[in-house]
Amino acid sequence: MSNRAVVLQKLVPNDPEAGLALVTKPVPKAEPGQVVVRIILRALNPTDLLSYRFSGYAHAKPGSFTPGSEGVGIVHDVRNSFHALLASFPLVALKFSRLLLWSYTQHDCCVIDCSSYRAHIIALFKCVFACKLFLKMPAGRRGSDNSGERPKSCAVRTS
Amino acid sequence: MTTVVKGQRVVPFVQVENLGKGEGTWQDYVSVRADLVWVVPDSISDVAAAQFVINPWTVHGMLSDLKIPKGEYVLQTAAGSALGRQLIKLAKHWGIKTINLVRRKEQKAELKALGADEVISTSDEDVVTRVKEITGGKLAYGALDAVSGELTKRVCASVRDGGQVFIYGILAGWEATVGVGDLFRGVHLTAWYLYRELAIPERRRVFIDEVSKLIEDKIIEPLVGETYDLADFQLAIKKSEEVGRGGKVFLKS
Repeated sequence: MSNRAVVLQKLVPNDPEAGLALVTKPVPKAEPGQVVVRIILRALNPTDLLSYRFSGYAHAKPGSFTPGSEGVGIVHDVRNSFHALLASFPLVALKFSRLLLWSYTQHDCCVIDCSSYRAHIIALFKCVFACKLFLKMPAGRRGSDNSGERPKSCAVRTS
Repeated sequence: MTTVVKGQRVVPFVQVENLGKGEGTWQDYVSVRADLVWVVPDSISDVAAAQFVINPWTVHGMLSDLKIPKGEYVLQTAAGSALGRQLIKLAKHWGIKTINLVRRKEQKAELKALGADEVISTSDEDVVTRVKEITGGKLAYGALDAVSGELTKRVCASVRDGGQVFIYGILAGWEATVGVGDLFRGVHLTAWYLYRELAIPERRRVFIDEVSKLIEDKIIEPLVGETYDLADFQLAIKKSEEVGRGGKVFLKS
């Protein structure tokens, strides 16, 4: 399995296409939070040609530049980021606490900003507190008391 | 958080991060940030997905940013291009009339058949005079220019006082001429740059939703030209620059 790539090897001002060559590169490995896509079809656009013809494109560095502004492909490899899983912790903690303390939760709605450390720390305390309360509850009331309103919705902001 | 699984068909939005690192799509594999891939529904074909972004998003973005009331005219240059044709159809769908500038007279009938209201051949007609005739002196409400160069001056002169002209292409080069009198009339001349717009996540969301719907409803239709293997990219580049090649050129793997 190899990765063929069109690479701009040098800038040839009078004949820009002469600077392009097909080379073989290693297939990229999926880094955390990244998706490796095997491209199957690409449409050619005038902007693609501009990207190596026009010297104003600062990122078109000879040796490391592959043109191509669009295409469609098949997901080849995925690695979910640890950060993404971690980021959902406050939501999981909230749901867990509510499950334990069915009748004690009173808010209808709340917004959690999962991106802040504060939210994570609060969520951790909530979990511990919910566990403590749960253990203190008489066994008969645990989870079965429906006198309280069930929380209706919960919005989460992850960024 | 987008969740994708192996084997899914996706459009990677390489314009946001990858291209800046020199990792475009002219290779077999690209690694893309997980939230920058879009899972393509079965209703959208490979050829439509392979040209999902650059032309349709530009057409949709520019035409919505011009805020043209129904029944008013938009003027566009290079109307025979893949993008120009999509614009004709989208404008018609939104109830906006089009004045289309082309270089070759032969394109007139073809664009009319597509739904173009007016077509002007720049080689043998005076653009401003024709636009005045068509609009009864009101001139076009706004305009889109893919050509630049000397044509921009005629485009600006064909737009109403205070009207907006977007430059989005440089077919005639990196300079454009403008009549100062048109600037005094309040004509706004600015560039419309897709890469700046699609870097905004909310705008990307709108493009994805609206354009996929327009493709499913066959308002935006893929223009399919010849397909070459990635290894034959030099031939594909030459083909993509042929005049009147008909449709987009593709590179397959």
